Amino acid sequence: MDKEEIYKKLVEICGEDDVSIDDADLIATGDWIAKGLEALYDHISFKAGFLVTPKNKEEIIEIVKFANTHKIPIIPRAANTSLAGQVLPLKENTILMDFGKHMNKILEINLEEEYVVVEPGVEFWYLQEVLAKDGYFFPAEPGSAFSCMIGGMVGNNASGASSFRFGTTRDYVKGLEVVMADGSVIHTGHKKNEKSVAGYDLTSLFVGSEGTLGIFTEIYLRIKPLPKNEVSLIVAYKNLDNAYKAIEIIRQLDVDLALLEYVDQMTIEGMNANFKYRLKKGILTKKIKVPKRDGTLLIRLIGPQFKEALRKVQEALSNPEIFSTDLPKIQVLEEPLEQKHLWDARHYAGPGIARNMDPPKIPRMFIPAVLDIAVPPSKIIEFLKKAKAISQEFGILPITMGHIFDGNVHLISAQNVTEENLAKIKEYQEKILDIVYSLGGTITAEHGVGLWKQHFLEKEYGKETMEIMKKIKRALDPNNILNPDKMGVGEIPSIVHFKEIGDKK
Amino acid sequence: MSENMIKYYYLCNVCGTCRQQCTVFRTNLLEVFSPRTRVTLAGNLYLNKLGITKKTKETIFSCVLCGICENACPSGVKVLDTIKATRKYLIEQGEGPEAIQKLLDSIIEEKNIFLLENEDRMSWAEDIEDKIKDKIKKQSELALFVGCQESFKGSLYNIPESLVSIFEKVGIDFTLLGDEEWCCGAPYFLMGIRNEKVEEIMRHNIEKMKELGVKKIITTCPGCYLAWKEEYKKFDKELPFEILHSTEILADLIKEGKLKVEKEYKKKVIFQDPCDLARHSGVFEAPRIILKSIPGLELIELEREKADAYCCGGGGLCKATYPEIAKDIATTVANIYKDHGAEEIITACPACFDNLMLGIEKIENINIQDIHSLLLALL
Repeated sequence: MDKEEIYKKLVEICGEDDVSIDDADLIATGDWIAKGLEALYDHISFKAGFLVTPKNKEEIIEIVKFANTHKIPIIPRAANTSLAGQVLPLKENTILMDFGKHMNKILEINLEEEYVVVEPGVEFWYLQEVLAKDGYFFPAEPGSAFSCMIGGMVGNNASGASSFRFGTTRDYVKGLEVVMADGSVIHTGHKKNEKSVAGYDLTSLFVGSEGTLGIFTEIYLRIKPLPKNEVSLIVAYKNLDNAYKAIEIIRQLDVDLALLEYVDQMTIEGMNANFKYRLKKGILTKKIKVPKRDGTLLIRLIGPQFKEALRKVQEALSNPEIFSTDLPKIQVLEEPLEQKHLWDARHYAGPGIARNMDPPKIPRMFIPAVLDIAVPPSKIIEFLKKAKAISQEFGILPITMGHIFDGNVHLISAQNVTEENLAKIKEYQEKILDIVYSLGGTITAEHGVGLWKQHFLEKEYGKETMEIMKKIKRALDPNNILNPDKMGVGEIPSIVHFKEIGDKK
Repeated sequence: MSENMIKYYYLCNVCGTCRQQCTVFRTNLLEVFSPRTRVTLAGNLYLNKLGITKKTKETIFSCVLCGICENACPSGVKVLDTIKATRKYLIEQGEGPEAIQKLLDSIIEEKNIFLLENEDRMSWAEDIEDKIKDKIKKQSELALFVGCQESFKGSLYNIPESLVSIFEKVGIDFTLLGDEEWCCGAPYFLMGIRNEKVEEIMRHNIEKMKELGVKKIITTCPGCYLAWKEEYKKFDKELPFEILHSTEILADLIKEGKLKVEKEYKKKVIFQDPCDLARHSGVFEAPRIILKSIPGLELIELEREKADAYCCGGGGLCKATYPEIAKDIATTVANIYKDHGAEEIITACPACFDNLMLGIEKIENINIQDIHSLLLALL
């Protein structure tokens, strides 16, 4: 079907104001890797055919039915903050379906039964703001908390630093209303029931399906009372091994721990750069500085016993019998706003490093496959040591920070996008993944598979498991219209291998 | 094509943090209006990967240049420099909005933004002629630079009128350039342009100030203030003037005890920090000193304050081309203020006053008041 006919039909369904074929709406804007490759190679372009902003479920059904009949790809898109190329258009005439403009309403808040019903375009921070007024929150907080939307969080089973304590998005999705690839509408799970084992757990199947199985139109989320008391600590040892020891000690303590983060010196540099900027701008009123030491941990304690917990942690981590002369420098942050700044700075430590340098003159990108690996928590220290050795061998110095208790580490390295570097990136990520898999780990703990990681999935799960995933995809979307060629369940595009992409500019 | 169009393109890792507070994006929640996409579009234009489209122009020229995105950006992307460079490029390509082009031409031809005759620049003072007749072009160390908006727009005359009346009460001597005051040139700077013609205008204003022996320049308009403070200082590194916003001098007078508010004003108010004065210049305290000196007045401070304060939507020349976007922003912001209990919004900027006035058209029980007029009424 030609572009003009598709456009006419989409306008017929949504109206002219909600369909765009303007290139500014269609180019890839949320993916650093795509941006880098586009700049390096002339023929590479991740561009959709249409942007539609549906107003309701009925319009979505109409679009999907039409697309299914004519085998036109659809990518459901929320806030466009995914980090693995989930919403990058790969095929001609792709329809980008964006929920931010219209489908952004909180439809129901039920405090008595602790659930909310939202549309996919509701922003996470907005939902938190609304819930906080009644002393509630949606606990699955990802790193993109400032910008992500619930639809994307559910589509990617988003989680973050505090997930070891509060769980991931999946733990809070009670049910879904989903428009299937043939335009039919199904409801999964239960809005009000707390327990049910009736039938297959379809909710779990859809959570984290990255837009490949269906389009969510309503999401039923579990909510929880907001923890009232909290205190944050910066604990800095001179020696990294002592930080590792401290982690083991905290594991044994009976305290309500909401966050425990290991931050390396580069992370600290990024955090401090952001503190400095905020202080200069008057956004931060009191100076915060993380000491630049090898063994630095950030800790957040919550709950009614938080003062007692604070005492226990301070005492245990400063035990001279264990830490001898390397007693830690401990800063306690009690004011809520100060604590917020600390965790904000931790969220954005990676990009914060850029504040101390000149803007790069050539494109850059993260190394995608090492960005959010996880190993069994008991193996985390072994992984960190081995990964450091490989990084040194390659001359790559990633910022290393991690959610220690769930074994999830981010190796963040911004690399120049040059042909030579792409080959190095490819080899480096394969070597790191060899360690990850040898320790029984996973390629992605948080960010998802998307486009850039799908070729590793078979190694993680084996052919048979991948075949089941593909069968599920084929059964639910036989015409392969929903976010095609992502997540390892379609045809894997050769571009993910970062080599022999084609002629350079 | 300026390199600033691409300078931050590779620095921006497109995380989208800028979306949460972007003044324009919040009104329509469309990705294309987010700062990260503006930066992406600029880079794509530079790389010749994108043609000039309707949406590109819309998103580049609708930016209010409030700079909240730069506070939020963890990498330090200078979104405003990128947008100004892109605006310049689009204007040079003949793709600038007609309304902007007219305004720019008017500055060169008529020395003001309104295509009016500059000899009428003292229209604002018709009702207080006796107070200013011996001030025009007289020698003084202090000059009041009135600015185009307040000189020609009737609804804003009360701002300089009030300041002049306060100066008279306190006995402060000052001078006015009268019809020799030319537009400060700010609209050009908002378009990233500083050419010979604008420099001629800057040179004229500087010379006229020097001729009158001026040492301090006071503006009530934060746009003019920023132009003098940044662009004029870049143009003439030896600029021999101290630049002050009117609230700074009034706050000093209060601190020195020369100005004292006796009357009560029992209202809950929110102060609208003007972007050019607060976020871009760091002047937060002066207007608060004034407001806190008023007996009975309750000043509400929001969680988003000072450098993170809301923008009214009246800046960046968005309003010239996209008045509906500017008005939407003002309505959104006024509603937020009302929800926080404000009965009145106090402004210290003609653009904030003007735009918020439009924004509250359909909101009941909230009004807008200029800080100078309020102060005068209570003396």
